[in-house]
Amino acid sequence: MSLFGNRRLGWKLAAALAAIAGLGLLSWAKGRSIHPSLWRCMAQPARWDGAGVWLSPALVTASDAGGFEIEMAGVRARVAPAAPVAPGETVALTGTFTAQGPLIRAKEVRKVAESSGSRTLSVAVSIAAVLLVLLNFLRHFAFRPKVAQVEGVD
Amino acid sequence: MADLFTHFAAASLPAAMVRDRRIAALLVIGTFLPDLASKGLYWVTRSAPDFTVPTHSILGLALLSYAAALFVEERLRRPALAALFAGGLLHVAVDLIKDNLGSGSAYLFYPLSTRSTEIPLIDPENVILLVPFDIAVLAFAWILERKRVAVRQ
Repeated sequence: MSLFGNRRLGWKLAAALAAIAGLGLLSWAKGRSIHPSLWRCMAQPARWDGAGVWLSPALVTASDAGGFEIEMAGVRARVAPAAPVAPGETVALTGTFTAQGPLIRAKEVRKVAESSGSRTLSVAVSIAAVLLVLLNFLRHFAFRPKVAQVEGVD
Repeated sequence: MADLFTHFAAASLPAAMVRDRRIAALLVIGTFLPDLASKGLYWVTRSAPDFTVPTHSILGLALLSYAAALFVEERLRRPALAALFAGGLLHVAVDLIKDNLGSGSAYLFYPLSTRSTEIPLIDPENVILLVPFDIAVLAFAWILERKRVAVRQ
């Protein structure tokens, strides 16, 4: 049976989609331990001691000379060292979670613009690009249902 | 995700050199495939972000491209698979230059490896600044295609 033939086309499609879904489930299971969520770290600090974290978007709730505090999904955590961020700003950060404290030792911190005009424009341009490409695609690949053909409709 | 317009511009150059316009269209569709799959899973089916990781891996792209190629007429399926897969790889290559604070935006060798890769060159918050560059690339692709058509005539 050829992979590209029309025989058992539905089964081939189902198998491909099932394989993709299976990979997705596997990555979901593994992903919880690769970059654990903040709430997992704070709920079980001993288990996640030393784990690398990637947190975005995190709201800065307090800032001082020693570090700053972030909040994500209702969970708060202390981050050190200090960074040029102020309460109310949103950041993305990578670092290591330490059970002692508990504390996040930040490696990189970057401010994230929230719903700025630039992001809205970027989304609009992206959608326009997809629509244009799909229109061009339809130009080359016309879908003609069998019923319409039988009735002689072009 | 680098914005889709940037991905479209990146795919236009190789697509301009493909003689069969249907295959060229599929190459461009292929470059949208990873984000259509991942954003579709995230925004439409509300899947966890970790579930969408395979859409930006080599194996996941191969499976996605194969599934998409099955919708093309039988005699075009092999080149369609190649075009869709090439477009998907191009998408991931463009995503690799996004600065994700070292965490990478693609797990290329998943499930063999959970190591993510990036070559941080562009700020993902300001991809709109790439539009003039994208337009220049599209113009160059258009010129290439015009020259190719002129040579054939």
